[in-house]
Amino acid sequence: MRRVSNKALIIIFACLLLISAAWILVASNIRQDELTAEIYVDGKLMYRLDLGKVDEEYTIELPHNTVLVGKGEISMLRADCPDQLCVRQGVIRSGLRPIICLPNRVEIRILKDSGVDAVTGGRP
Amino acid sequence: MSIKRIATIAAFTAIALTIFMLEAQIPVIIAVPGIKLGLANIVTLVALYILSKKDAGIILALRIVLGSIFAGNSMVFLYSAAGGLLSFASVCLISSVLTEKQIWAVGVVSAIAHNLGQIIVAALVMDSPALLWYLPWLIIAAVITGTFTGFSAQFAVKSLKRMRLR
Repeated sequence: MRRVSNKALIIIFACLLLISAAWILVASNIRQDELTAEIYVDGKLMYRLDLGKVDEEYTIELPHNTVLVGKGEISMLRADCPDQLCVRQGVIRSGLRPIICLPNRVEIRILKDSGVDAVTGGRP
Repeated sequence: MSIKRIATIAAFTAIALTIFMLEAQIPVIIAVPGIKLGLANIVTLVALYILSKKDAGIILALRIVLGSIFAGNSMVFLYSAAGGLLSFASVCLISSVLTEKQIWAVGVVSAIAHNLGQIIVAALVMDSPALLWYLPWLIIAAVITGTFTGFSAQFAVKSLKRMRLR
């Protein structure tokens, strides 16, 4: 049976680390100007918001979460799950890292402006 | 199935489940879903080398089912089952080309495969390919935690074999 040396293993894992780090760096440097945010619950689109036109911060109440909407940014204010990962993720300003609440299947996604000029709130 | 084998599997499952439950109490430091130490994987790896692939698979499956009942919900079960399945498959594949002094690398591969399986299922469940942006974070975390759990398993296997507890 062919054996793999420790050196080869370390090189492979180091390369993986480098690629991941580069991926994160590239991803975090991409900026977007006009922002549309979408809030999904259970994979269904609930809200589509134009973040460029927010004058005053406001909150959106979902069954298990509260979303805070600000100008050019959006964040999860409250979640009723124990881990609170989505709350601690803080504010997002680009579509590269969506806010995810796995236990409640809530997702906040930012996309490039798609010509939305009104804030809509859809109920299921 | 001999009584000894049943008892051994039961003991390993109990250890894995205990570690799994204890780990669930440790607060997560990084705000990326899916990142944790994966300490229970040490037991799976040890079982793989001390017992057999089949027994390790049984222990892993039992731990995932029982762990989800005790510490989670159906979604947790889905994520850990996907992670566990992919992780176990890749471990079975690579453990044959690695020596017993390279179990740490098996740990790393296992952790990466686990996170990969989990994020793929999460992306499918949430119907959101954007979730894959978490992948680089998960890979970095997996390399670090996998090295740690892998070495733990390596030392455990070494001592257990010396004690001839097989």
